[in-house]
Amino acid sequence: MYIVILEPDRIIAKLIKNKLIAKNIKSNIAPTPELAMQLIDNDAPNAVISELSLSGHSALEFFYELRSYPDLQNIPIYLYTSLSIDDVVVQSKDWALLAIERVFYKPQVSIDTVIDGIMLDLNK
Amino acid sequence: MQSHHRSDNEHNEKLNHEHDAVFMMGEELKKPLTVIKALAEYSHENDQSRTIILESKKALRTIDNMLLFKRIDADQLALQLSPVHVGSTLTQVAHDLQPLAAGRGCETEVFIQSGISSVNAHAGALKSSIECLWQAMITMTEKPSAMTWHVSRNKNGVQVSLTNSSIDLSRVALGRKNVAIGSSSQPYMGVSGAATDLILAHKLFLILGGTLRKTKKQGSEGFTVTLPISEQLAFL
Repeated sequence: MYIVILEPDRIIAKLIKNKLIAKNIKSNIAPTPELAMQLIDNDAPNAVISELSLSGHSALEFFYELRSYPDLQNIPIYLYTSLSIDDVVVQSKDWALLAIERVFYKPQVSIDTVIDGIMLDLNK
Repeated sequence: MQSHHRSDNEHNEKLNHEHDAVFMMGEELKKPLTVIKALAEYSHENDQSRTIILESKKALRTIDNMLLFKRIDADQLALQLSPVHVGSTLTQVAHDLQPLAAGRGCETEVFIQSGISSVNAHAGALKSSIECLWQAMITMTEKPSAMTWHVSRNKNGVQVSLTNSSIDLSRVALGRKNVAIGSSSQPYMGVSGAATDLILAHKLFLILGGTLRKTKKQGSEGFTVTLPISEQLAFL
C-alpha cells in the first residue's frame, strides 16, 4: 500500500506519515501539487490524501490535472482540509467530475479517523 | 447626488475589505489551532491532551460560526430555508459538545417533546446558533452544574431553551438587536470570555426569526428562543 500526502503544513504532513508508518503503509509527502504530480508519475499510489487550501492556490487544478490522465483517473482522492466546504459545492456536477472519495474536516476530525476511514475503503 | 453615490460606493468597498479581512483572519487562525489539536491527538492520551483537544475544537467552532455569520451578513451565502428538526440538530451538536461540557464538570440533559414540528431554517445556521449558545453557557459556567435543553411547541413556534442550575446571568444584557461584533468592549456585561459565542447565537437566531431572551425557572437561569415552524408543516 502506498499513499501520497499533499499537505503544505509540515507538522500535519509528518503526523499523517507517522500514523501511516505505524500501520506499515508506505507514503511520501509533497508540499506542492507539482511535487505530488512527480511522485505520482514515478509510482502510482493507492490513494492521495490532500489539503484543499495550498499556499497561493487551491488544489483543484491539481485534481483536474490528475483526472485528465486516463491511467490516474481511478486513484482515490481523500480531502483532509481546514476549509469548510458547503453541501451545495459537494453536491454540484463540477465536484462530481473530480471524483473526490471523501471529505474530512481537519478542525473536527482526527488523523486516526481519516486513516481508519481510508483503510476501510481500500480494504473493501 | 454624485457625492452620495461615491460615499455609498466607498462605504461598500470598506465593508467588503472588512469582510475579506475577517475571512482571511479566520482561516489563518484555524491553521495553528488545527496543528495544536493534531499534536494533542497524536500525543499519549491523558487529561492534559484531552483538554487541549476539547478547547482547540471549541475555538475552531467559534471561528467557523463567526465565518458563517459573516458570510450571511456579507450576502455571500444565500439562506435557503427548509424544514429542519431542532431535536435532530440538537442531538448532532450534543455529540460534539457534551464532552466539552463534561470536561467542565457539567452534566447535560436534553428533553425534546415528542412529535415536535420542524422549524423553517437554514440547517447550518441553526446548528451554529445552537453550538454558539451552548458554548457560551459552558464558558460562563464557573462550577460543576446541571444544564438542561428543552425543546417544545408553544403557540408561536418551537421553543428552545437552555438552562443552568448554578449560573448568575443578572449582569448579562440581551437587548439591542444590532450589536456589531467588536463594536463595544462590553456588549454583554460580565461575560467577556463568552461574549463572541453569545453575540453569534443572538445574531444567528435573529436571522432564523427568533429573539434570544433570558429565562429563569425553578432556580435555574438560562436562555430561550422561539423559532417559527415550517410553513409547509404549519397546518399540522
